[in-house]
Amino acid sequence: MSDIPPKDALKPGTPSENYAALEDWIASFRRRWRGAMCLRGIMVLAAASGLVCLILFAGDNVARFPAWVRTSSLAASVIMFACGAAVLVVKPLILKLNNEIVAARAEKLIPGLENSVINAVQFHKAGLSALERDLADAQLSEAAARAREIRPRNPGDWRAIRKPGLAALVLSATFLAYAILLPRAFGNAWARFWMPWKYVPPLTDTRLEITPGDAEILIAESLLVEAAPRGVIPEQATIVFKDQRGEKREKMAFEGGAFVFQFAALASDVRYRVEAGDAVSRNYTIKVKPRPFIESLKILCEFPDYLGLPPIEQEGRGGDIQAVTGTKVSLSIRSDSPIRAAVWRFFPERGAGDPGSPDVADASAPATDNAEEILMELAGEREASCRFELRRNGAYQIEATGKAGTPSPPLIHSVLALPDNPPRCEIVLPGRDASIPPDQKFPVHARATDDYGVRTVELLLSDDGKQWRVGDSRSFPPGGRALTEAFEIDPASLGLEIGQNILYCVRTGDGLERQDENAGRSIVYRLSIASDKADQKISDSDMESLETGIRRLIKKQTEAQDKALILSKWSEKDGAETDAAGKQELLADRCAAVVLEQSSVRDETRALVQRHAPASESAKGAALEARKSAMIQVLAGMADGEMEDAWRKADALRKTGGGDATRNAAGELMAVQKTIIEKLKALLGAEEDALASLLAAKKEEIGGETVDRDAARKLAEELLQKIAEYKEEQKKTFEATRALEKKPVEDFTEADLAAIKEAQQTEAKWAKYFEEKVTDFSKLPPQDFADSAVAKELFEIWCEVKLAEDAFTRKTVEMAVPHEQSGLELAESLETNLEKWLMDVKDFQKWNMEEPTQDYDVPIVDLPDELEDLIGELLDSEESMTEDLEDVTSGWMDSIDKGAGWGTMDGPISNMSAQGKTGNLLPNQQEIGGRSGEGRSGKSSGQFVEETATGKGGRDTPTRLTPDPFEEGRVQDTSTDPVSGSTGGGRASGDGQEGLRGPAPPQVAEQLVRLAQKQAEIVNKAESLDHGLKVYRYPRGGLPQAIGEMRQTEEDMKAGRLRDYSRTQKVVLGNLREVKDAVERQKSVNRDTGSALPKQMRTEIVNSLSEKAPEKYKDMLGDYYKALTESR
Amino acid sequence: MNRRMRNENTAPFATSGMIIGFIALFAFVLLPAVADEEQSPETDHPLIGKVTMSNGETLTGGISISGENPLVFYDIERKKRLLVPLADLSGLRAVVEREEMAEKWVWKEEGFHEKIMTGEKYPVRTFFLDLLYPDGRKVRGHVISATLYVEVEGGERQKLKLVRKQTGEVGQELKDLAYVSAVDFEGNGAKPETPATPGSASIRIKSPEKILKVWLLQYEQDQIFEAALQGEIYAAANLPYGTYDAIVETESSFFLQFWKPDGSRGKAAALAPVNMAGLEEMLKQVGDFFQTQRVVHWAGSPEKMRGLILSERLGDTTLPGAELIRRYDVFVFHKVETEWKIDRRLFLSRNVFYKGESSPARKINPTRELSGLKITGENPKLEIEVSLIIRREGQP
Repeated sequence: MSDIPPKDALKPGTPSENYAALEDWIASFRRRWRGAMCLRGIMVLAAASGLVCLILFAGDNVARFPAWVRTSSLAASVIMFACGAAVLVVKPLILKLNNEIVAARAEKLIPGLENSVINAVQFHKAGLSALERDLADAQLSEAAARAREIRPRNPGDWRAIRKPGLAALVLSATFLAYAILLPRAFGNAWARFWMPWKYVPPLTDTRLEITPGDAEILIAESLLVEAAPRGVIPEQATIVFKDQRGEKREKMAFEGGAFVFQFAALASDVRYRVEAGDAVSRNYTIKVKPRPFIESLKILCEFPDYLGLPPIEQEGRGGDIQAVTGTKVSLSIRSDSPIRAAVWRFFPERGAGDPGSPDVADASAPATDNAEEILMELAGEREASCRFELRRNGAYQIEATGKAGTPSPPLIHSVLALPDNPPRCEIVLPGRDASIPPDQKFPVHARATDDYGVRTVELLLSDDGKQWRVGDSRSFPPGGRALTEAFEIDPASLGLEIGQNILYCVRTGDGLERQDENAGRSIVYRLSIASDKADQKISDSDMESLETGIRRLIKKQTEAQDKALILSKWSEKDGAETDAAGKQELLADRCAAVVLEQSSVRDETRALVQRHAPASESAKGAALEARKSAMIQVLAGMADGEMEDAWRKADALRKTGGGDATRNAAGELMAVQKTIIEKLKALLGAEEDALASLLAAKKEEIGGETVDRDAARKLAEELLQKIAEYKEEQKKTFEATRALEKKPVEDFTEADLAAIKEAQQTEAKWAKYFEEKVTDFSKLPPQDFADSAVAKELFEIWCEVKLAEDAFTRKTVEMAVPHEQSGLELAESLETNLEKWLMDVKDFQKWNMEEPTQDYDVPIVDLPDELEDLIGELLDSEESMTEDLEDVTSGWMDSIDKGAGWGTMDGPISNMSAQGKTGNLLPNQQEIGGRSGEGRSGKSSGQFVEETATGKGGRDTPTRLTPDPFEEGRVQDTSTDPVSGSTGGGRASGDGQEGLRGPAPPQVAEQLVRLAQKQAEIVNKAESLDHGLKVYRYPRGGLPQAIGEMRQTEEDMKAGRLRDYSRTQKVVLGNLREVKDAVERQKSVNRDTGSALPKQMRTEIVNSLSEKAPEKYKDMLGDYYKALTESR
Repeated sequence: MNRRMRNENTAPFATSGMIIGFIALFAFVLLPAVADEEQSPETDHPLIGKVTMSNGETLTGGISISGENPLVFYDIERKKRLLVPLADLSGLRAVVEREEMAEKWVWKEEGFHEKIMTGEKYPVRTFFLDLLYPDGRKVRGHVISATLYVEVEGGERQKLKLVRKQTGEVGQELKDLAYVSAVDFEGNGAKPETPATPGSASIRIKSPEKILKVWLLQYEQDQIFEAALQGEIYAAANLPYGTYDAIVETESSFFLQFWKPDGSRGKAAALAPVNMAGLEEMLKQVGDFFQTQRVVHWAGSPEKMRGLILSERLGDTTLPGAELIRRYDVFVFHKVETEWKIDRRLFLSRNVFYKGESSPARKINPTRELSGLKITGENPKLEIEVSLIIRREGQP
């Protein structure tokens, strides 16, 4: 059905009415058309937006767009939307649509109009004639009529709207479904696109929680970054960070449920992110704030006045303080940047009362609750200082605050308040009770040491041991930590007669008043006045031979020469760690050591002279005495001559203070020392001609004194004559003493005994025997004791040797072998059997090998079934083995095959092939390992591979603990010598002397634990006692030391060790007895003596309390009590 | 110092997802922890293991070496003597190196190389020892014989020997000589499913001058290992776990800082002058090849002190022309009452100077970053980067 009404239904109107109606209709159509266009534009925009959003959101869910992609896509989308809106929505609204355009559109879309509307519009406009006007009016009427009937409804083309509308609907529905069905994904995408420049983590299986994220730290601080994973835990995480050096990727460690990474000591800002699994965190920033650093610390220590020591200043970063208690310490710091404040804090050591052990400063557990604090004074923009007095151990901290309020890194150093230990004194000569004739002066040499400086040394004398008087006194300037001083006791001046005796000791002081009267006192000895030489109780130790004493002097002088050698090459520019002050102190210590050595050489020479000066009763006759007298004369001359000169030069060296002056002075000293050594050596081997030349040597002017040469020549001539007589007598004497070998001991006469006594070895030999140097086991490489095979038979070949002409006088040679010239054979088997022979000269070589620089695998070769030995009469004697002949322990171990042959001598290489021979030289004193048959006794710790032992003598070896194990098997020991030198290892043989201390068996260990508990109880009681004595001001004497020893013993017992227990016990008991005596003495002073009064007097005294005071004493009593009350 | 601050940018995810995630996390965290509690090994028992003898006999119980000492072992490949605690190993294997019926012999005559065989034969066997590590490594070498104690149930303790060489008596056969052929440890800290990684170290060093050598000094067993240059990094592999100090030697300096167990400040504690004097006095008395020996750097306590020792000898050696021999070693000391004892000597470097050559000693630069470096089971790969600074006098 058509909408167009028929023509005859149209109602005519006036032309203007018709046109107005038509215009209304056109306008209406126009509005609807615009609306349709806008609607279509909106549909299109909606569809496009929906599509874009879907694509972006879904794409982001899958591909996790980076921020720039999201930002740009969002921007592009917005721009696109805006443009689209402008074109599709806005433009239609503002588009100019005239009547003609609208009419044409209407004609096109509405059927039945048949161009009537367009014609009407056009005819209305054009300039028409009358006829044309009529036609136009007719057309207009028709158009108007139709317009009245036809509504200007939807401009048709619904497809243009339908399609985009449908698309928009579909996409909207899809979007909605996406939002409803996948809310998480949708929400995530929405959040990520809403503000795409902000970090919103994408949807991932793994999620990361980063701590601390962005952070601010101080420079040089570290920061731990943790990435705690959620969801799917990835296998690894990587941290990607960028600083001024560039970008780096590092794996993170997984600890405690999170991935961690530590930024250590950051110096600049860092940006980082964490990647783990499919998760990537955002970028974080660590900002590093600058802080001040303390670049230098100056310490000035001003010691207590009584020490008399100059202040010491040290500068640098080493800030530990060690000084005597009471020292005033000034600290000055300088920062690398301006500071506004600086604080000094002191943390005392926990439980510290008296200063602690002086061994190591340990402030690892300071008592922070008792910390003291001082605000340091600022001096300038970057400096600050403070001052404090050293009282306790602990630690101090300096913290500077920068202008921005950032603190400096805490600078913590230890503080050790060293106690000023009492000085120690020891009488070194003679160091025993003695008796002398009344007309003889008695020398007393004492050695005084103190940790800071000996100030006084006094010789104390007493008749009864209670009242002491000062016999002689010496004072010293500050700084001398060790010195030897000589006194003399003159019985005549003291009025001592035969039969009387006197007690003597030496006391030293360090300037500090001490309550303990025994502080710094030596052991007390007794000096008796005897009638004649027969009553002189000179112990065996005094009978050391002159020659042994001279050897000892040579050794001492050589040591002093070595010290001077080092000083002659002293350099301040050496690369040691110590600063200039430390270097200076080292120089001072070394110079003082040289002075001490030279003083000791001189004093010991004088003592040696004095000891041997009186004519001894010898069966060897006047000739021997003459030689001895000559030697004594030479020694006396040297003591006053070269040795005195050497001491003066050493003293001058001590005062040089470094540089060329020190080196030159040391060189001069060495020249004199060399002369002394040569002369002493010449004395030992001197024949009469040499001795004569020594005596006849013209003395140079020494210290401004000249010697009477005529007198010296006359003396020499007398001595030469006596020496000639001595030669004849010597022959007779040797015959006489040889006869004693066959005489039974019980038949010895007094003369025989005197002769034997004269020839006896002195205590110097035993002192040498007991002298335990630092053990050299650290040098010896570990030895394999696996092969327990032993040789069944030993062929001993005894040889007589024709000695070389210079067998006994060959000059000692030190073979110092550096690593370049050392080598090992490391033989796997024995194939070579070189001929071996005995030595025809004494040991004159000192082997001194440099330690190896690498480890070697030494094979264990199969040994022959029978070992051969080569033995000869000893050419050496223990006496003649001086220090310069003893080989030095080395770390070389070898399996020698081809190299084992020819001369049999001692050496420093331990050998595993058991090719050694006994030989005819005395073993040296070095430690040696390896495998061997019996040989001579010495310091060996290797494996014994022989079945039998017969005892071949050797060195007297000290007992010591060696690393060799205790092996199975037993040696058939047929030796009869009393052998010492247990080591705790090896194989069992016969019975011997007291064995070695070592780890205790379990049963003993249990008992030791119980004993340790008892020891602990005793220590507790001793500590209580010590406290009580302190409180009541009783002398404590050696009680603190005893407590320390007992504590150590308790620890040793708990650990199953019993080392040196007997010595410790003696020391402890001695100290306790001393304390007991001291307390008794004090108690007797404090004791109320009233109890000794008669009862009547005591009653009177007690009753007097209730009586009135006498009148004339009233004022006095009143003042007395008044003073008492006011003094509180 | 570590700071822990919450990160406020947590994404607002759906509640259900968070709940599910939380439950999963809960299960993830707690279940393994519960499992660990049930399986954690006891740590206060001695090393438990099984010893297998060559004759098939086995012993199971607590295994130790006398005095709890480490095994002294010579690594054939590295040509180095190592101290290996048993607790570091998963097992030992004795591998026969040589075995034969050797014949007793004597020399024909002194000076003649001819051997006379006696006709008596005895068994001899020598061994390699393979050290087995939990990570599967095997190191072959020779052992310095040690006594192995096996404490079986019932308290009975048996003594066995780990030897390099075994010698029998005449009349015995090789089969008569039983030996420890295998030792397997249990519960030495490494679980089979998570084998321990061998210790290693990589050190990147920025130095103002040429580096000569880099060492790693282990504290626990006092062993020293040299790090080799690989590209730009100094590396060492197969290191035992422990605490290390790195020592760097350059043309003019040593850079190092010895670690002390309770050195929380990371600074070497000062040694009282009386102890330093005692130490140097002891060194003088040792009677060494060198005329002077000084401690130029140290750390520790009287129980254990480590010192860098500068030793010098001015000429007078058998090496022609050598005017000065200078050597650096690390000595390990301890103090017994009043006397210092040297426990170990570890060689670092030495130089020989001839006439006309300059010979300044190395400066010592304490460098904290090189001290107390830990290589543990949890962190077996040590990687550090350090910049060396030559400190002038008075400079921090």
